[in-house]
Amino acid sequence: MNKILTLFLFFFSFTVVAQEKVYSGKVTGADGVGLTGAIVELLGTGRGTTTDFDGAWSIVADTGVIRISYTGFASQDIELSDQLTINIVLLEAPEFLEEVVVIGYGVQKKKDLTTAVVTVDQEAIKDRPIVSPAEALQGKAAGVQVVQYSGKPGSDVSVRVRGSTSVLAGNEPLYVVDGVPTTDIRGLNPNDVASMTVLKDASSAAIYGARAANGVVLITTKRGVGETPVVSFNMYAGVSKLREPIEVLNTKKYRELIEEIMPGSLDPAATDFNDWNEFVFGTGINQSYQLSFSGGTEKSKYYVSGAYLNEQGIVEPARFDRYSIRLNLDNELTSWLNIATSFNILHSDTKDTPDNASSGRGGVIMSTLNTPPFLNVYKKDGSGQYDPNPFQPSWENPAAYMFGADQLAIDDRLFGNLVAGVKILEGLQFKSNLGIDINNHRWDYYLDPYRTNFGRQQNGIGRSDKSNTTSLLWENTLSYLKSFDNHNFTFLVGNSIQRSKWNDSYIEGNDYPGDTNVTTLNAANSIRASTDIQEWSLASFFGRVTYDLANKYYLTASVRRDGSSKLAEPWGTMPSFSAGWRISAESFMDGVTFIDDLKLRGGWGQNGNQEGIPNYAQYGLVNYYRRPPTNPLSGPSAVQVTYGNPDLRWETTAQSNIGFDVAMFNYRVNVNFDAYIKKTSDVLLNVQLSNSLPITTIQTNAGDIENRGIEFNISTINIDKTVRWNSDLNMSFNKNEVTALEYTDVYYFGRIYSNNQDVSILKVGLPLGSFFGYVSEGVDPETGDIKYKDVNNNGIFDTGDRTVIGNAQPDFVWGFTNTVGWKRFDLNVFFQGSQGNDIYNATRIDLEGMFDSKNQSVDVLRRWTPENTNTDIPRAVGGGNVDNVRNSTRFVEDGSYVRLKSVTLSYALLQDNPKLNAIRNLSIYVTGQNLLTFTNYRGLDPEVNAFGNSATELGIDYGTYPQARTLIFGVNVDF
Amino acid sequence: MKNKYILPVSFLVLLTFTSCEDFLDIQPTSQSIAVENTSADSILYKTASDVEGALAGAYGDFKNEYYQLDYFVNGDAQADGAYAGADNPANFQIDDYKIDATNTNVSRDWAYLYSTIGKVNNIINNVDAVPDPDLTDTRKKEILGEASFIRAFMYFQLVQLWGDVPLQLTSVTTISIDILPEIYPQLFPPRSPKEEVYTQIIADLEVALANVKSTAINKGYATTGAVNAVLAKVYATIEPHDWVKVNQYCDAVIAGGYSLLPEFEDLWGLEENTAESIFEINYDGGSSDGNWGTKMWSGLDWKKFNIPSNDLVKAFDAEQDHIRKDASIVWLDVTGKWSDIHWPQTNYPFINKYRNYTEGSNQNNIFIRLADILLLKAEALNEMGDVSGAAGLVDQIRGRVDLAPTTASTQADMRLAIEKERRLELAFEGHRWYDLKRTGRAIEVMNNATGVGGENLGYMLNDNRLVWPIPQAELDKNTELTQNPGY
Repeated sequence: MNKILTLFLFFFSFTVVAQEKVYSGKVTGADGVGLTGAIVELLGTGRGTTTDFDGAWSIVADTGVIRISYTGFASQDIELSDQLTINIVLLEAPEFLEEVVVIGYGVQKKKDLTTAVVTVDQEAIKDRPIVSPAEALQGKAAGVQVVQYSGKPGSDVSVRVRGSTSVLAGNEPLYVVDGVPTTDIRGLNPNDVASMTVLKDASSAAIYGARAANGVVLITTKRGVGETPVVSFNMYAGVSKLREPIEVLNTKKYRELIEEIMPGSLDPAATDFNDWNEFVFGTGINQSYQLSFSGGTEKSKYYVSGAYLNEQGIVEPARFDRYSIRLNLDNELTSWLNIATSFNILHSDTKDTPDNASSGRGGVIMSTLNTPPFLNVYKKDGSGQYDPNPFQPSWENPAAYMFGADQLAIDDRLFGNLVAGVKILEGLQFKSNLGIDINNHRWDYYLDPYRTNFGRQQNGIGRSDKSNTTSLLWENTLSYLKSFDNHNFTFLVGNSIQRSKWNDSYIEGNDYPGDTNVTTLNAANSIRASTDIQEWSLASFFGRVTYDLANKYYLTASVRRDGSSKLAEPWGTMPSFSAGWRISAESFMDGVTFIDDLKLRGGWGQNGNQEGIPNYAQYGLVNYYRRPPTNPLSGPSAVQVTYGNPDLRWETTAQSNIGFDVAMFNYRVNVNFDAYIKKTSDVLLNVQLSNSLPITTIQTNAGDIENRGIEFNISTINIDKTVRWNSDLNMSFNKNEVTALEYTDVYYFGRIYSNNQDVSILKVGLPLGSFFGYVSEGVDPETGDIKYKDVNNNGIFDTGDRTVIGNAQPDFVWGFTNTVGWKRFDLNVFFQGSQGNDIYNATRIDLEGMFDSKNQSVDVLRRWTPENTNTDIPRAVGGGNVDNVRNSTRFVEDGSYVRLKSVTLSYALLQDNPKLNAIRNLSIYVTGQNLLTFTNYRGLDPEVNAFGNSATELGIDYGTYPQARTLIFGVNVDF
Repeated sequence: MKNKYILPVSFLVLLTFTSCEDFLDIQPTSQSIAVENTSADSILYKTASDVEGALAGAYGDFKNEYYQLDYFVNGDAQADGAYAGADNPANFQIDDYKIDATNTNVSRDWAYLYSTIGKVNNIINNVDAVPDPDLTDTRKKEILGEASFIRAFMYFQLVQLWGDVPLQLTSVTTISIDILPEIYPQLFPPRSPKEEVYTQIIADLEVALANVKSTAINKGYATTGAVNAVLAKVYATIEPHDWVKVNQYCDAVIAGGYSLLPEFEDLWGLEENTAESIFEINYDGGSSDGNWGTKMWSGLDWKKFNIPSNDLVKAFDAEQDHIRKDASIVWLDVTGKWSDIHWPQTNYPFINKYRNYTEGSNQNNIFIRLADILLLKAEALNEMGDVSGAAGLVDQIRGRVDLAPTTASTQADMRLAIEKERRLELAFEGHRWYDLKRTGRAIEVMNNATGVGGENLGYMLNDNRLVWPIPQAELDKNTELTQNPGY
C-alpha cells in the first residue's frame, strides 16, 4: 500500500510548481563514518558538489534527481521531494556490480544487463584437471547443462544451453573466442581463459543471428594488465582410477553357463582365469604445466603462455597430449589507434581406445566384460597372436582391440585474430577484426597382418585421413556512445563475413608386406582413396541500440541479417528486444533497506541455427562410384543421392525471457532468476519418403520443438571474518517437447547392437531422448522367459506392444559450490548433479542376456532354472535368442546422481611475499575430481552416452569409456 | 570532420553488400548437381553419359547387400539347406520363422529392392527425353529394356517375399517444399494385389524382351536369354501356374545357344560367363569391385552365415551325389574357433560354391543358369503330363554328375524327383525357399526337417509365415499399408 502511495506521489510531484530550495545532508558508509569527497550532482543540470571532511553536503535545487557517487561504493539516485534533509548511506559496491561483462561485439556493466547472461570465471577452472574450458561450465552456470558423456581423454563434452532445439542441425552453443567464432574449443588451454560468458536468451544472443539458437559462449582469454611483469608457473600431476568395476563370472561359473546353453562346446582344458577388469582398467595419469608471462608498459601490454597437458586414460592406450602457445598483445599506437592481437598455436596428439561398440565389433569396454575369462592375452603357442575367442574368432579379447591397431590423430591449429580499433570521435569507435582459424588434422591407422584376426584376414590394414580446415573472418563494427542528461545511448552497427573450406583426403588399403615396421600406405597392395572438399560462407549485418534512463530504465534492441551459402534463399533477419527496470533505484524502494539492488529484466528475440545444415543441401547431389572400366572408358557409375531442397530455411528459435537480479543484505545474498520459453520452428528433419523413390529421405523443415524452464543462481557470502565462507547454488529446470512434426509422424534412433532394435523415439508430445520399447512384466516362473505386457490389448505379442518407457532428459540439473578460507587455507567443495533422468543400460543386454557365448555379469547367477523360478533374471537361452533382451523397461534405470565433482584444498605458502624478491606467491593444492558419486545407476558411471552429443540418442550406455576418479597435486607460483 | 570517415566506412559496407551474392554462391566440388531446382529444368539426363551412368548405378545394385548376402540367406537359410550361422539375431529369426516386423533384414531388403526400383523408374520415365544426339534411338530402347528387366527382377523378389506390395512406377526427380505437401501422400501408395504386381512384372519383361540385345560383353546384363528365363520363372510362380508359358520361355532360353558345362565343378569360380550361365553378376575383384559376399559363407576367421544343414548333407549322401556334394560343401576343422549344436568342431561344413573368399574376391555370382531352366522345363513337361520328357531333362542334369537316371515314373514321383534334383543341383544358389513355396511344399518339408541325430528341428512354419511382415518402419510411414496376417 505504501509503495503505491509513493508511486502516486512520484507522479504527482511533476505537477508541483518548481521552487528553489536548499537540500542538505550527510553521506556515510555502512559504519556511519562520513565519506569525504563523495560526489553529489543534480542530474541533467551540470550542478554538483562534493562532501566535506565529515561527509556533509548541500545543494540548491528545485526538483530533479541527485546522484551520490563515491569510488568503490554503489552510487544512489534520489528523487528530490519536500524532504530537505537527505542523509545517505552508501554501500560498498561489490565488484561484480561495477564488473564489466563481455557481450556480443562489446562490453556492458553487469548492473546494466537486461538479458540473461551468466559468467564463469577463472575460479571455476583453476586448480582442476580440466582439459576443455567447456567442462568448467558444468554445474557453474544456471541454464547450462554439460554432460561429459565419455571419460576418454580428449573426448568432447555436450553443452546444452536451455535444452535442445534441434535434431539434425546441432545443439552445441557457438563459441566466440576473443571475437572469433568457432564450434570447437577442445584445444583451448583452460588456464589461458580469463572468463566465459554464456549468452542464454535470444536477446543477448541475437546479435549472433543464424548461429545463436543454442546460445553463445563468449570466451575471453587473459591479457597483460599492470606494468609489473608477472611470471607464473602452474602445474599439477595426479592419477585417476575407475570408480567401481562390473563384476563378471569367473571361469568356473562361466563354464557352467556355457555348458547349459551349448553343451560340450568348451575345451575341457580351458580352465585358466584372467581377470579382464584388472587387465583393462588401470591407472590414468593427468598432468599439466604452464608458464606464462604478462606485463607491459602503459601503451603496450603482453600476455604470453606456453603449456603442456597430458591425460592418459584409465583404459589404455587412450591419451591426449596438448602443446599450446598463446600470444596476446595490446598496443596503443596513437591516441586514436590501437591494435590487439590474440593468437593461439596448438598441437595435440590423440590416441583412441575404441568404445561404445559390442565385444564383437571392437568395443574395448564390452570386450572386457564379455570375453571368456579363461582366455589369455596372447596365444600360448608363442605365435604372438592375440588369444582368439573359441566361439567366434572375430570377437577379439580386449588387448587386441586396445593394442592391435597403431593409431594416432594429430591436430595442428592456428587460431586467432587481429583487431584494429580506431577512435574517430569521442564516443565513436570503428573496429576491424580479422580472424583466422587453420586446422590441420592427420590420422593414421595401421593394423598388422599377424596379431589380430581382422589383421590376418585383411593381411594388414592401413588408413590415413588428412584434412585441412581454413576459416577466415572479417568483421567491421562502428560503435557510438552518447549520454546527455539522464539519457545514455549506445549504438552499434557492423558487418561480418566468414568463409570456411574443408579439404580432406582419405586413403585406405590392405594386403601389407610381412615387415610390420612398414606401416605406410605405399606398401599396401590394394588401395581405395578419395578426396573431398566442403565449403560454406556466411555474410551478416547487424546493429544494436541500448538506451538507459538514469540507470533505472533500460531498453535494448538488436537485429541481425544473415546470408548463408547453404541456402538457396540465403537471407534471414533476426530481431530482438529487451528491457530492464532497476526497481531498487526507485524512491519507493528507499524503505526496503535489506534490498541493495533489484532489477527486473525481460526480453524477446529470434535466433537461427544453420550449423548442421549440409553445405549443399539446396542442391540435388549426384555421387560417383567406381566401376570396372568400360571400353571405351565412360566414367564411374552415377547415383543421385539427395533431393535438393531450395526451400530450406534455417531453424528459428523465438525465445522469451523474464528474470530478475537481486542483491540483498549488504550484497551478501545475490540471486539471479530467469524463466524462459523457447519455441523452435522449422526444425530440420530427414522426412521419410517412400522406399520406392531412389532417395528415401529429404531434408526439410518439418517440426517444432519447445523448451521451457526456469533457472536460478544464489550466491551468498556466509561469513567474511577470519573464516571466509561463500556459497553458490544454481539449478536449472528445463522441459523439452516436440510440439509438431510434419509429414513423418515418428522417427526412431539409437540402434542397439545385440537386439538390433532402435530404442530412441522422436514423436509429437515427447521430449527428445525418449525411450521406446516393451514393458517387461518380469520373469514368467513357468517358462523362465520375460513376459511383455500386451500394451495394445490385442491378445498377442506384437510390435504394437511397444510404448514410451523412459526419458533421458533430467527434470533438473544443479551445482553447489562452497569455498571456505581460513588464514592461508582455502577449501573449495563443488557438488553437481542431475535429477530425474533415465539411462538405457544397453550394456546389461550383453551382460544378462545369456543368448550366446559372451561372459555375463554375476547377476546371472540368480537366473531362472527349474529349481529357481522366482527371480528377476530369465533363463539362459543361448542360440542367439534375444527375445528376453528386447528393448524394454528391464534395462531402463534411474540415472539421477549427486556427485562430489571437485574438492580442492590449497595452502598459500607465500603470499605477496615482501622478503623474498624472487617469489611473490606460492601455493600448493590437492584436488579430487569425481571422488564421490551417489546414484542408483548400476553401470560404470551415470554420466554417459554411447552416442556422444547426439540430439536424439541420449542417455544410452553401451560399453562407454567411463569417467574416472582423479586425484591431483598442484603448485602455483608467481615470480 | 565526420564526413571524412563516414564515406570510406559506408563504401566498405556497400562493397560487402554488392559482392554478397557472389560470396554466398558456393557450389559443390566433390559431387554433381543433379537437377537445377528450377521449373525450367525438367530434364533429368542431359547427356548420354548421364543416363548410362544411371543405368550402371542400377546394375550396381546387383552388388548390394541384398544380392551379395540376403538373397542367399532368404533362399537357403530360410529353407532346409542351411542354418543361419554367424551371430546375427535377424538371421536367426529368418531361419526359425520367428520374424517380427522390426527385423532389420526384412526392413533393409524392402529398402534395397525399392531403392533400385526408384532408380530404374527414373531411367524408364526419362530416357526418352535425353536430348543428347550421341544417344541413338536404338540405344534408348535398349536402355529402356534393360531398366524394365531390372524393375521386373526387383518386383519379383518383393512379391515372393511379401505377397501384395505397393506398385510404384513413376519417377520423382526433384522435390521442392512447394509440391511436397501435394505429392507426399502419392509417395505412399497402398499395397497392390499380387496378381497386379505379377501383371506389371510380365509387362516389364515383355518390354525388355522386345528391346534388349541377345548378348552383352558379359552375362551381367539383361539379354533376351535372361529375360526369357525370368519370364519362365515368373509363370512357374504365379497362381495358377501357367506351364505352357513356362515351357515356351524355357524353350526360348534353350534355343538361345546356352549349354551345360561338362564339369559341374567348373561353374564355381574356375570358369566365368560360361555357356551355361544366363545371368551372372561380374566382379573384377579388388577394393572397388570385390565380391565381399563370398567371405560371408566360408573361412575360418569368424563364424559364417548359411552353415550347410544336416538335412541337406543327408540328401546328398542318400543320393551318393559326391560330385555336387563336394562342389557345394567343404569340411574344415574349427576346433578352438567356435562351436555350435549342429556340427562337431572337427568336421564342420561351409558352402563351397563361392570358394574364392579372399578379400576383394573376383568370383562372380550366378543368379540364373541353364540347369535351373532345364529342370524348370522338366517341371512344366511333367505338369503337362509328359513324364518321360521330364525324365529326359532330369537325367541330363544327373548325367553330368555321374548319377544314374531317375527312377520316377509317375507324375507324382517325378514332382518329388525334380524337387530333389533342384535341391541338390542348385544348393546355396538362393532358390530352395522359393521352390518350396511355389510348389506348396514348404510347410510339409520344413516341419519335417531333421537335425544331426535325425531329431525333428521343430520348425513351426504355418501359412502366415510363408510371407514376411511389412517392415514396421514402412507401416509407420505409410498409413495405407496393412500388415500381413499373423504379424
